[in-house]
Order: sequence, then structure tokens, then C-alpha cells
Amino acid sequence: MTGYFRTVAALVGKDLLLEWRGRETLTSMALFSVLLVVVFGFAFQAQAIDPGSQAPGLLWIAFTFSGVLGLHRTMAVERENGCLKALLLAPIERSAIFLAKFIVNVILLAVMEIVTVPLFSILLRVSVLPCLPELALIAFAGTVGFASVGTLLSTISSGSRLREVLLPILLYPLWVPIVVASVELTGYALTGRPMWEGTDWWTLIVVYDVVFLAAGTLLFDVMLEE
Amino acid sequence: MSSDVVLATEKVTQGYGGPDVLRGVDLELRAGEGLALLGPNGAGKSTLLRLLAGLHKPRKGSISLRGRPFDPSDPDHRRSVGFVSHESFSYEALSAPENLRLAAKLYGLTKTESDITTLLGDLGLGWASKRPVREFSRGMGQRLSLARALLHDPPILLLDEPFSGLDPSGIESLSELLAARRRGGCAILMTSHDLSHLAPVATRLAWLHRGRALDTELDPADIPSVEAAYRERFAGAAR
Repeated sequence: MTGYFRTVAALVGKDLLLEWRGRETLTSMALFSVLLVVVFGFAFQAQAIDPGSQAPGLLWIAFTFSGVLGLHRTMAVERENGCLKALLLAPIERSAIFLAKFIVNVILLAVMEIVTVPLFSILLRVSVLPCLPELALIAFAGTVGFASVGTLLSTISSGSRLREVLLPILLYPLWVPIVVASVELTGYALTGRPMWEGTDWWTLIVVYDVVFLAAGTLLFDVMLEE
Repeated sequence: MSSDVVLATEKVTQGYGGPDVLRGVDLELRAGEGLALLGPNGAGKSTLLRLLAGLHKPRKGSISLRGRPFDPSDPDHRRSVGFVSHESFSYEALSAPENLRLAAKLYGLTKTESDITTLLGDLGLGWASKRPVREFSRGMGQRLSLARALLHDPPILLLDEPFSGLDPSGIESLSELLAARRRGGCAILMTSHDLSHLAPVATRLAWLHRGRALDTELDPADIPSVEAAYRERFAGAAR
């Protein structure tokens, strides 16, 4: 088991080092989310935005559309020079490849979200400081869900000629439950409602995260068979 | 030279949706043997090597490793094989030592920096250890692929045109390195279009034509006549 997690750690380290050297994924994600927030800021500059009904949706639009860029790129690097085949030739559990990619995607998405939220708060005049811990928890739980689905589906799409188009087509329908739950709970946090009132949404998020993380770990090998 | 069969195919058939690329190939590779697989473009040589490496499963037929069914999901089976393909298997933003360090971790090796430096030196890459792989020439990339395949000292090497892109000194040093590995008991299966490179390494030649293994016991001492026959057959295939 320690060998398994050492493998995961080695693969995570490799991806983070590649991202540090190139900074392509994080830059494109962060710039795109900033662009979206700026556009929203201009669109709503004449009127106050409702923190309960409007702000959460706009925030998660920024997260999810930027997230697709990152998910596509983190798997694309393995398709260059046959690097994914090299990983498949190595005597490692293939689920370790999925888990490592998932962890890297969560990290990159989290960094993008940390960049986005302050700008969102300033430009759309939505106060986030009073509910920052709740917001962080909701963002993390939602991010785990869409990173697990996204990692699995980006594996399929990256091997296709239509990869740029295929990933969003596959992802968006599957993302609906997690995004809806995250938007609802974000509304609760921004309006000061207690988190326990959103128990049903929390249940949905937790079940979604567990199911798709398990599915990704178990099905990754099958997805890779050409 | 040991006569143990380490890798064998029985009636292996493979295709990609159209006509089969491999059609019932029977082949044996023995320990300490250098088997050179010849044939024109499209004969199925690379496909056969990918099957033997475990990247795909044959549509029909079987592959056995030391008498047991070859199971690509078995880590021990994967550890037994070192594979060089047309792709470099390297991350371009990393340097050669960084790529090999990652490979060492994935193979569970306790290679020191000195081991990696020595291996890169043997393959003529010691001077380029600080450069990212994206700055490598084709020949340098090929040398790194070879280093990666040799890193875990596999008993079986599957090399798809290993001399491709190498300069004359690289070809000579690689031939010597592979010949030494073979004498140490390593089984080597390789493809090449240039038969002159094979002489120091190959102990047997096999001919693949349109997915079938036609001759599998050719003597490398007959390379000049084999070369002539190869060209005639190749010209015949074009007609």
C-alpha cells in the first residue's frame, strides 16, 4: 500500500513540476475565470447582485468553464510523446495514474478558485469574508466531484480527434447535479443561512463525490483500453 | 547460450478494424538471443512489438512469458520487458535525469544519481543532463528512450528500430551495449531496416511479410544474401 501511495506521490510531483515549468494550465484557467468575472462585473455594474439567487450561479459558471480548460490540458500532456503508454508499461496500479491526475486537478482548480473569489467579491460587490470557511468547504466538496468526473472523462476525450469538443459534451450533463448542489449551498453561505438547512444538498454532494471517485478508480483501466 | 524460451506467440492475430495486420504469427524468443525481425513497411513489426510489450491484447492467439500466459496487468510481467518504440516516452519539459528518476520511482528501483548518470553517459547523453528534452535532437531522444528501457535491467528488450536517428558512433556504442546485454542472458527482439547494424547483436533473423512470419530461423551470417533477398522480396511486395 505504501508503494501505491509512493507511486501516486511521484506522479503528482511530476505533474506539479511540469505545471511549474510551463504554467500553461493554471494561467489559462485563471485568465479565463478572471475574464468571466470582469464581464459579469460590467454586466451587473448598474444594479446590486442578489447574493442568494444570482451570485452563486455566476461564481460556479466561472469555476466550471475555467475548470474544463484545466481538465483537458492535464491529460493532454500524457498523450504527447507516448507518455501515457510509458505509464501503462510501468509496473504500477493504473488506478494510481487516475488518483494522481485527480489530485493535481483538484489542486489546480483550487488555485483558480482562490484567484477568482476575491475578484468576484470586489467586482460584483458580494461579501464573502463572513462566510469564507463555509465557502471554502463548499468549493472543495464541489471541486472534488467535478474533478473526479472530469479526470475520468478527459481520459476518454484526450484519445479522440474531437477532444476539444468531446470533453464539454460529455462533462456538462454529468456535472449538473454537483453544480446545482454547489450553487444552492453557496447561496446558503452568502446569505448567512446555516449549513444544516442544506443537508439534502450536502448529501447529494458527498454521494456524488464518493460514487465518481470510486468509479474513476475502478473504471480508469477500462477507459484506457484502446 | 541458453535455449530457454522467454517469450512466445502462438497464432497471434491483430487488426485495427480493417484487414488484419498480423495473421497467425508464431514466434519464439529465447534467453540470450538477439532476434531481428525484418520486413517491409506495414508488415506488422511494430504491431507485434506493441502486443509483446502488453500495450494491446491480440484479437486471436496467445502470448506466453516463460511458459505462462502473458498478463499485461501483472506488474512482474511488465517489469520483465523494456520497450523502445517510435515515441520517446519522455516529458519534454523535464531533463533526461528527471525523466529517468521518475521511471526509477515507477519501477520501484533504488537507483542512485550516480547510476542514472552512468547510464546516460553510456548512451552518450551525459553532457546534456541539464537540458530539457524539448531541446533534444531526434537521435538524443532515441538515446533517452533506450536509457529508459534499460534502466530496470529487464530480461527482455523489445526495440522498434533502435538505431533510428543515431549517428555512427551512437550506432556502434549501442550495438556493443546490446551485444553485452545479450551475452549476459538478456533476450532481445528488435526491428530494423538497416541490416548492417544488426550483425553484432542478432543471433537469428525472422521475416514478417503482410502479417505472417515467413522465415524465423535465418542465420545472421547470411546477412548479405538475406539483404539481397529482402530487397527482392520488398520490390516484389511493391509489385
